[in-house]
Amino acid sequence: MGVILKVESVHKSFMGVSALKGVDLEVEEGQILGIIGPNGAGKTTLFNVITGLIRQDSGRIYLNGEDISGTPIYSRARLGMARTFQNLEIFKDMSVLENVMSGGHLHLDSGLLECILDSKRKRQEEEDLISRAMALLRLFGIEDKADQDAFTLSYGEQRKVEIARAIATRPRVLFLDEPASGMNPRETEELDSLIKRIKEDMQLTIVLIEHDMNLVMDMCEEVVVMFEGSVLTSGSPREVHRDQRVIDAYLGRDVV
Amino acid sequence: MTPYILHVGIIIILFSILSLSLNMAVGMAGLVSLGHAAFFGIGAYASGLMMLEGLPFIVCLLLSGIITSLFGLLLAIPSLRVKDDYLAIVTLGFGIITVIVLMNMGITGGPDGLTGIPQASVFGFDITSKPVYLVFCVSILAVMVLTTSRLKASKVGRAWAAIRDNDTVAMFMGINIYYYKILCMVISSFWAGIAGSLYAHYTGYINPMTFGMQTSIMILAMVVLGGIGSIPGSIIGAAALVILPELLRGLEANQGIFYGALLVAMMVLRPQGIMGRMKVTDIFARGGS
Ligand SMILES: Nc1ncnc2c1ncn2[C@@H]1O[C@H](COP(=O)(O)OP(=O)(O)OP(=O)(O)O)[C@@H](O)[C@H]1O
Ligand SMILES: [Mg+2]
Repeated sequence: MGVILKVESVHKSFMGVSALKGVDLEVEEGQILGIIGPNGAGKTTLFNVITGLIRQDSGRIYLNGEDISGTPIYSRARLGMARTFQNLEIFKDMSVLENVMSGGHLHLDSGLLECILDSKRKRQEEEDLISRAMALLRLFGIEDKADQDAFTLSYGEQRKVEIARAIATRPRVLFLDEPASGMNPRETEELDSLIKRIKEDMQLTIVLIEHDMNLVMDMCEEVVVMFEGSVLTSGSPREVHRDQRVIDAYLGRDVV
Repeated sequence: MTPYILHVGIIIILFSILSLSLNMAVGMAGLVSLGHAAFFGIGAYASGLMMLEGLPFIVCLLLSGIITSLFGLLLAIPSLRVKDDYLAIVTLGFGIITVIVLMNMGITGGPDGLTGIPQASVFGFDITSKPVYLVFCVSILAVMVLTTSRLKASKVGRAWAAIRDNDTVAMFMGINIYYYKILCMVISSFWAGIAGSLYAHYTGYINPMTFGMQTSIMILAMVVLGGIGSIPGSIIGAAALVILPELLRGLEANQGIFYGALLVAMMVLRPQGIMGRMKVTDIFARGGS
């Protein structure tokens, strides 16, 4: 078990306002790492930089020892990164099944000509993809909604679609930005055990931003606390929970 | 069948190829392309000129598709690399400039265009009679419909749909959006070029005005009317907008008003078109995300 992801003194500012002020981070392979911190701490910005959505002003990112600081998003996806978004980004004009199938794109080998000629391999690949996507939907308990337009599902179910789609890319590291937001307590609990199970089945490494402290305490082996664009502290959920600086950082917010 | 009906049939098929090729870009991948008639024109002129040089029809047909797709490629690479909105502006400019260039070049015959384009024959068979040419055009459209529906139902079509929906998110699926957008423009312009070639050899005479903005708008109207992203819709839209003016011959001057009214009514009553699932406004009113 080595370090699968390494972030080295990443800086990012938006029009003069610093959102990340030299963030360092190491993620162990097979770990579930939690990132917490008050609103505006820079958690999502850090995800955006790591996954390639925005370019850092300085600093480097390594995946499996490979420097990916300037690699485009779609190549990072190929290298094994997948994510969900804080404000839910499913494909609205696709069915639930198509959404998850689109996550399988990078594992389809048949080329343009095979698609046009409808070759045997292409048909086999499509069949396999459908059964894999259906299996994921079954796992998330939404297989009966496979053919519905994705936007017609409840918020919590749309979150599940988004996570299933990310998993369909077969990532090595999965980034979840507040996966439980908009879910009811029952759904959150389901999600908790589901994520743990998927992590074991697929030998995933998971980085999780979450405000729901119960979920964080239960799922994460290690927690990183961000505050005003920097890492304030890190440690086991319990250590972090007791840390006076963390409590101060959250002051004025309920820390549960 | 009377020659008149056969003629209308051939024109419907040619415009079906055009509207389906534009729908591939606009409807399937969400690429706003506003000068589609220019590709049509490039195909027609390329084919006409090559045939006047004595090349066999079938070679001209294929080459005109390939030459036109090179224009699609050259247009797509710089504009799509920067930002999607550029494609709309670039294709609009391209549509206008192409007509001006055709008007002013010596080799294209200037405003008079090309005349005496030889009639079409395939492997020694004369296909110039209207019934035979109609069958020939229908078989080309059939090939296009088949390959397009296969693409649509493959990872290529899914990638296009993802891009149309949200191209940033599409990248997180490992989709190289530049490749798929450029591919879409290349295939789309290829078919427009094929339609141009078929047109040139059907009429035997072409001039620049056929390939201007008005025709681009007409093809776009066919796509919108038939349904964004719909293959049968593209054909229905083309048929409707070819037949309607024939029926409205008497109105002449009021035709423009009629089209305008029809499109406005469509937007209000059925924004997804006759066959489509998506609304036009989803493509054209999209905020840059
Ligand atoms: N694209 C952007 N343009 C301008 N400012 C931005 C942008 N993205 C983030 N910021 C700013 O950067 C800071 C960090 O935001 P970020 O979204 O990373 O916080 P967060 O920790 O995810 O907060 P929350 O818990 O509310 O999601 C905020 O001040 C935010 O306003
Ligand atoms: Mg956030």
